Amino acid sequence: MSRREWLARAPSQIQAAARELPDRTRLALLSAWRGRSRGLAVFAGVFLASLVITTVLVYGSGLMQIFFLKYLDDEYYDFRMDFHADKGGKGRMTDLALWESYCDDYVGLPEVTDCAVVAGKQGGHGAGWFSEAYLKPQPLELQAWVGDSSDWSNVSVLTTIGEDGGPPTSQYRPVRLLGPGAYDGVLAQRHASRLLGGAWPGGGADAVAQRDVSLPSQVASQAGAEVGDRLASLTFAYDTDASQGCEGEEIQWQVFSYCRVSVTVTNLTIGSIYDDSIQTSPVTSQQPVFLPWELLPADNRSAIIGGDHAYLAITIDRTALPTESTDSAEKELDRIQRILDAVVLEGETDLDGTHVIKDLLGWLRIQNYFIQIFNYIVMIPIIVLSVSVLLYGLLLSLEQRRREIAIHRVIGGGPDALLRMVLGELGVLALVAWIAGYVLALLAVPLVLNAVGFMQFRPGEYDVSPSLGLLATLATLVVTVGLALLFGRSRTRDFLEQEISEGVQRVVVKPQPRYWLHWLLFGIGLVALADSYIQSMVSDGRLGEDWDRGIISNPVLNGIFAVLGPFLLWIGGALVLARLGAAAPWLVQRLLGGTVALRDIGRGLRGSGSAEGVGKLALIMLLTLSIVTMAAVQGYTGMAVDERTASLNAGADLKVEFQQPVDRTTALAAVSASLNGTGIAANDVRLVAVPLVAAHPAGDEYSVYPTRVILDGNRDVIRWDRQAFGGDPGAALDQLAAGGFSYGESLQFSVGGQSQLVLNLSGLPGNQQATVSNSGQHAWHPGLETSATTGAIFIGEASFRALVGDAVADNWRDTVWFVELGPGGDDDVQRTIARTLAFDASVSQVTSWEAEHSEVERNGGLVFGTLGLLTLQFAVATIAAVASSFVFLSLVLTQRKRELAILQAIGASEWQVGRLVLFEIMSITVVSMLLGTALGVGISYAFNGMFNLFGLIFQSFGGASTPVDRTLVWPWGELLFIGLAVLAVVMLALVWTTARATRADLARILKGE
Amino acid sequence: MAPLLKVRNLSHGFGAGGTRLEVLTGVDFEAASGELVALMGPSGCGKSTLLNIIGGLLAADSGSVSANGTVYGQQPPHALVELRRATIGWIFQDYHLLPHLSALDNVTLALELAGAAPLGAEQRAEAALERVGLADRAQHRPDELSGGQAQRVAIARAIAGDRKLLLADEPTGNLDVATSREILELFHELCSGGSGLSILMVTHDAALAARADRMLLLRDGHVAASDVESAWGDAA
Repeated sequence: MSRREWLARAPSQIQAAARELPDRTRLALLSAWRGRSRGLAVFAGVFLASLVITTVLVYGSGLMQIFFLKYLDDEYYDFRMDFHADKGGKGRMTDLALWESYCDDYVGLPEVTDCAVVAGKQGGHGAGWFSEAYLKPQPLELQAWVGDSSDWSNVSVLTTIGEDGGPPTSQYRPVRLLGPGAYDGVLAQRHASRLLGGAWPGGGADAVAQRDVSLPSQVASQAGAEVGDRLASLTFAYDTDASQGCEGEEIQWQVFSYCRVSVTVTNLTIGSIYDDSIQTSPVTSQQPVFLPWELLPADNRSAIIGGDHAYLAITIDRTALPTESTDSAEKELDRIQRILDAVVLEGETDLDGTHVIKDLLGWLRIQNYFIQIFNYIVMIPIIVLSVSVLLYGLLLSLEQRRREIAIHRVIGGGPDALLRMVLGELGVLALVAWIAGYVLALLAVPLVLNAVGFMQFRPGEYDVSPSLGLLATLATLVVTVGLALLFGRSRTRDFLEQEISEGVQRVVVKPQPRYWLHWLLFGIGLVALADSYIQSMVSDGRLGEDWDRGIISNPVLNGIFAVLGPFLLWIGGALVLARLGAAAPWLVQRLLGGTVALRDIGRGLRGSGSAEGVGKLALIMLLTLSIVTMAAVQGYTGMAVDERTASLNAGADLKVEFQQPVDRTTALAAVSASLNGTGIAANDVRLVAVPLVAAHPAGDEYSVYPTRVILDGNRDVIRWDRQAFGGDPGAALDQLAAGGFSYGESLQFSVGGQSQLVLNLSGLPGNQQATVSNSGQHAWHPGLETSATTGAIFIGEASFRALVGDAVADNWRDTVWFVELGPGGDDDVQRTIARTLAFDASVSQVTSWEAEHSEVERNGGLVFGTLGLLTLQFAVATIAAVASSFVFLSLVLTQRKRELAILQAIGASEWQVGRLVLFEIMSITVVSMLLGTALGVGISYAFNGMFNLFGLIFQSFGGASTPVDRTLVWPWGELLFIGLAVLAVVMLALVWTTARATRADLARILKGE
Repeated sequence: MAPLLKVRNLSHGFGAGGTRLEVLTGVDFEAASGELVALMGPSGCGKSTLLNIIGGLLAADSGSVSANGTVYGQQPPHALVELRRATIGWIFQDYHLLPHLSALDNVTLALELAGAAPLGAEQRAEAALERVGLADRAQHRPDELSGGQAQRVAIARAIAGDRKLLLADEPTGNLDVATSREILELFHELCSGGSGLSILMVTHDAALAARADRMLLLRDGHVAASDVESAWGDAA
């Protein structure tokens, strides 16, 4: 047909197709309904694939939304209006009255809900992250403060906030000046919501009249200051352009020259104390001391504007922001930013809008990409599983149509019509399954995002409604329904190309699978597993350092093996072991053939594993159970890592850091004073310090070791972990108590080889000595900085007393005391006591184990959201195990109903048929499940290396590192429970399907109708 | 001598209401011990239905069957397991051998299902295979056998349990003429072997039917003729 003819016919063909569409759809629906039993496998496969793929994609979007909302929530402001030009540039001004009037221009916009003049920021004209030039302009740096009602001389003006990660920031505690707009409306509400004590002024005039200052809680705690106390003075510095003349100190720094001017504000009243544990954008300066802008003389205010310290803080209605994705929220923010940028200001001042979280969004995106890549990798097995269920389901389902297609061909059915018939039915089934999976995924993701542990959920603080864009939705449709149709098309074409006689045959000889390939994949996977296991043994100290590179020393090859190994092990292992699983009936027949249970039917089990459906059942069981095992192991391991990390950080129920060293009685008094209303009696509370002394080996005064003392009561308070001593902590503590010492990693060469040390106190008079014997290496002490313990030795109380004497030991004073609250010290109690203690003037910081644990859980001990995904993987794999056993059993028994009818025709009773099927299927299921669990153990080890690798990447993102190892936890009880549940379902399915098969019309089945 | 098989007033229909079709409307006949009986009739006349009821695979609506002293007819298949184990053996057009078992195992399994001890069952199965001339193919699977050989295995399976009545539903339907003749020869040998075995065989092949001891013609739901002459005469 020529192109012209084709074009001429096209409209009529399209019309005809459109006319036939309703009929064809109806027929496809009818066909799908009639073939629903064979379609169950297709439905299950597409449903699982759609559920898993959609969940992974939606999860990524939800994760980003949570990040976005979290940071949005943490910020006081939504937009910052800065000078467009750098210092000395066009469009800048110092006119105070004009600057203060600009807010009126902005609050007139419908998008803007509040506006205030604010001063104090850093990096307004940044040259980008990681650049030193980012530091200009400097924040308003605190220089000094003088207390009135309490002593502020020891309260540092330096802050450690922001040291851990992110761009370089000033180390000085910043001051932020707030215009009257910040004391009313939305901005006042946002500030007030973060107060721990006191009240936010009721307006700008109030703030000035009260000479209000709002302090971060850490500063108030350090100063022992309370709401209502007074500050005699507070001095801070601002920078101006030195070229315009300098009234302060002229400073040359790198290529910049600027003028630093100090200003002192006096007679201030502490009006409020705010929660400074919430991190905000470093750009708008972190955890500042808030002061009213109008307390400053007009000259200073003009200079601050000129020095680019001032900006306009703008809020919008956050509830109006679209929440379906960060992209759409960012688009809306960009739109509002353009509106703000377009406002023409008096005096030709040119201000640029920046939405405050924009910089963070970029940062979050990079982090989120890594998280998502990791999460996608974690989800690969479950995606492969769901696609396998789909493909094998299709294979079995379409096999049932082979004969039907051949018969249709005999009666004149054309290839196109037959293809349409099969694809129509398949399309309808797959589409319904895709929709079901898609909708369930959208409903499930918020739950998964709430996971704080493996199979543990806590309602999130953020109400997210993640969704998928049109393109991503279409992608899931193509991958699932498209795959089903493509496979169905290719399979149907195979049937159409077969000889009709071959198609009609009931038994088809299939080509042998590529077993060599299965073995090759399995072999490579085993090598990777061995490599990973050997390396884990080296890190545990069970193997020497000679093996630290495992068995693959080439780093490139090692990397490839580390990433691909787990997957090859899983897929290759499943394919190889599935043959073993399918051979289980033979094994059972060998073992139990002569017993009463099998004497009459045992022969029927011979060779039954070679049936295609049975082989697929074994494979699916192996795939699902291995994932269930891996997800459970990694999930529980993740929770153990979270708990270990919390113990590492907090050390005990509470870790109380005092301003000054205090003795046990004082520490106990402080803690006891905060027990009111908690139900904890002072007698229940146990405290311990971990004294630090400097000691040196006798005769070697230059080798001074920081020496930590593990007091006798230590083990009753501290949450010790096996990893702390690389084994049973109880035994290690016993050895220390009996005169032993342990050493940190960095002392391995200096003291590791010595069986005994004779210690003397350093820098103290006297000649008291303690002889301690080597009891091995320690990794950390819970609650103490790991960096401080890797270079230290630990000794027991007896050795400590020998060194310092009983008087010093009995009256030991320390700044850090660990507290055990007894059985009643649950989450709420810990938090209540921690909150009360935080207001104790003598206490600088309190860390509670539960709060630390919640924080670690929420942020993911290893990688954000992994436990949620492992939970999903576990749940989906368990559902897949149950559903696929049911579906595949149904298919297998449908395929074998003729065989069961033959057995009955030659004399088998229903009981014999039932027993035969029971032994056959149960042996395959049980053996496959055991092999699947074994494979899961293997891939758990193999995947652990990858989890560690990504953990390191994310820890480096967070700017922290942890010595906590991912020592695998084996939840055998849970796995046994799942195994029994699957077996119970298989039994039920067996009873149901066998009863159906044995009560079927034997004559009709045997006739082949 | 009492007949081995007695069928009395057997009726069976399919469907319900207006679409109900009465296939058998009172079938009566008998078959003696050692007799090879061919059952003929037009398609849809109920030959296979009659065979299924006699073989205990289908319950009749009314009437009775007596085979080797066991009286039944209206019981469901699961109530007639003992009948299929001890009295009646089946031979199908499609052979219906279990594809994953060897010829010997196919035969032995039937004996073991009936309660025979494995060792003895295997010896009896070997003897049965020898009787049908397939001792040298005992370890072959069905897909390694020709159609005629597969049918011989099915016959061995049916006779191995010393059953008295074999029901053969178009046993030569998938076989060529020569092989069909061989199978019929085998049937004759089995019936005349002194064991008292009878065979009731459904066939469309008039030439084969003519070589049976007796032929029944089933028409309009009942036995229209019970010997070759009257059957052909009536048909003519």
